[in-house]
Amino acid sequence: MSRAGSTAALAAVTVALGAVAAALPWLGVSSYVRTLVYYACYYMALGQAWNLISGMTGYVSFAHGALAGIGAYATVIALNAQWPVAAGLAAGAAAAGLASLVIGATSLRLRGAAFTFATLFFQELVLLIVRKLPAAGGPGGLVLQEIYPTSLPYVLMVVLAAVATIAVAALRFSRTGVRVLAIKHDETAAVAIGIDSTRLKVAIFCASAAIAGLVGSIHAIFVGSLFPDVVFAVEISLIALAVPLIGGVGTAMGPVVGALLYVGMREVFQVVAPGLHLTIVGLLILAVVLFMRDGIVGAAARAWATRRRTAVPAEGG
Amino acid sequence: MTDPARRTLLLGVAAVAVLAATGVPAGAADPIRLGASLSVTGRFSDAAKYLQEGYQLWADEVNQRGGIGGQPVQVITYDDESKPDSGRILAERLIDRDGVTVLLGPYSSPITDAIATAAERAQVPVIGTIASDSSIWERRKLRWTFQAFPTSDYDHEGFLRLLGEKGKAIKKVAIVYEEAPFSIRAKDWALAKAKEMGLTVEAYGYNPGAQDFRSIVERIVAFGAEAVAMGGYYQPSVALTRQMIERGYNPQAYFFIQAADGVTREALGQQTEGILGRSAWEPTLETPAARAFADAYRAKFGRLPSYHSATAYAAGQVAEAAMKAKGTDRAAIRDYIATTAIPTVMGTFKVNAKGQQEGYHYIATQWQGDTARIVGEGSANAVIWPKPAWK
Repeated sequence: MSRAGSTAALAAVTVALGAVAAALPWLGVSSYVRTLVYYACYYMALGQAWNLISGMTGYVSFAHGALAGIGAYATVIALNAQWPVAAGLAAGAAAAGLASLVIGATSLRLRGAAFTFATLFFQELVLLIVRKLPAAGGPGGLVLQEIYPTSLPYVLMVVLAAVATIAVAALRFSRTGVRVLAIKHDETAAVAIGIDSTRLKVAIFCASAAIAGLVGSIHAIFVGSLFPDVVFAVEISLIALAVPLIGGVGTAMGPVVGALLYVGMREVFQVVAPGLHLTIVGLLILAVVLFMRDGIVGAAARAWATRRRTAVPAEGG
Repeated sequence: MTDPARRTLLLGVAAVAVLAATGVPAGAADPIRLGASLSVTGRFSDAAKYLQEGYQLWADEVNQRGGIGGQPVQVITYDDESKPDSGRILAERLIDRDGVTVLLGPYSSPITDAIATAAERAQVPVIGTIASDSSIWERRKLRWTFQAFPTSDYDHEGFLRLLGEKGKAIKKVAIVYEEAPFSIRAKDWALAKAKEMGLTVEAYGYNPGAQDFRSIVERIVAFGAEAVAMGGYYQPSVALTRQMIERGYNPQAYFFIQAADGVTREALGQQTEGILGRSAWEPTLETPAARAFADAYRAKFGRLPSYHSATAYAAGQVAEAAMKAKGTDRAAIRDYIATTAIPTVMGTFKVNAKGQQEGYHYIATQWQGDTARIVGEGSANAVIWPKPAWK
């Protein structure tokens, strides 16, 4: 199948799965299962946002949780000021996108670890600022005045996860995607053949941050209440990174597989091995990272290719 | 049979055996289910075991008495990992899959708030077993969620009362607080109260998790405070105490809110002598209900109960009273809990219109030798006053 063809096929499958997931509230599925689907989509969308910048360019971000948090705060402040929902969501995406320029415009000019350090400091800095900001509710956080039905954030998150997945797939197989991958593999060579690497990196980081901001916005509508220490906990940035790592970094399907496994495993082990489930999940993630460097999707693709190579001559006789 | 197949079969047999051993015997009435969110792992994990024991003791006693309306009770517990997002998912699981009648609350404000959001949507009553921070009932209206722990607003109440009785000579008081909602609210209450008592007060805030209090100690010394009250978490409290000792600053009265916990003795050793604290409940409490609970607990688990076990047991008693009166109708249970004074091992449970606990407050304690004794109000124990010098 051609690359464009496989992108189209992936898009079709994603849209179909997304439509089924989005329709669950009206198909009589229990709210517990819907909550699990919601969380899988939440981590999937956040993982895709991370994947877009870190998976594609190799510049590792530890700030995606904080970017989502900025989106969450912006949306709650906007909705409490009686903005319509669409405008509130746009405010979340815009706020996170703008915040990304603060990190990106400086640190992405440099190569290597500068960006990673900048994101780490950013994560801490935002928490300190938000705790002191009266408009953001200080240490007590903010509450969304209107409680929306869960179906609204649910459908929005499913759609966002699908759109983010298609966006990563489309970018990967586009001309821009080839340029981005060139930066990942050899930035000096990429610049030498005329790729404006700084501009490209900043643009992609900004898009990635806008998606992360939107994830935070929708989650804020879902939870209805924000505490700074929870919203800006470093754990969320680690989940954004762990989900693509499990599934496969830099691939469109990686975060999809990663998010489903992450949410599924935690639920199963929490019932089967209460108290030990986090340890088990942690060890499994470690095993994947150590023994499947390109994640589960990568390992499965290799196994499939090996089988086909050995199977084809046998069939051909 | 191949080895893996045999192993699977053995596992299956074992699973069935375990289920048969722990499950409710066939033919018995369906149990009334209650669900509890516990922080078994993560940063709040210290208390989970004691809470679970409190629930277990309560459920066993109810079932020995023949259950509620002929039905046994069962408390289903899950681990929320000390994380609000996990609490939210397990609240859905308890409500939706396990069909619990009442939810028993988790530890910390964010997790209580997360579970409350799910419970408010599903209209299931929540008894906030160990939620001391009343601010989550301030920031929005929670109709189905009730505070069953003494509210932290009154953290400094016992200390100020002792100050009024014993510390006539004391004019200047320093209050140290954490920049967190519960601590700020407690400080605000104490500031107003202390001013009403004619004291000069200064308050010193610090960032959550701070360990270096040297500049605050210098400012307190410069202010000339004769009494110090610390309203933050345990680790910063120990750090502040150590740095006061280092500086050689010995106030006439010193109080920190979590001083009564046994770990304080381990961290500070001999220096604890005379340090005041506050406790939600102590096994030495001289009420018939407390004594009966402490005896039953010791008979079952072989040691004295902590306040965690007492609050869990009390949450069970609140649910029991409501279900005895109203059966398993969740809305009727909610109305009953919202409007009724219910006797428990903690004292009389009674919530205000917002759902905050008004029935019982904290009791004052003081380290005397190797125990944190109940002092003041109705207690026969003498108060050591002023606090002896650091050793």
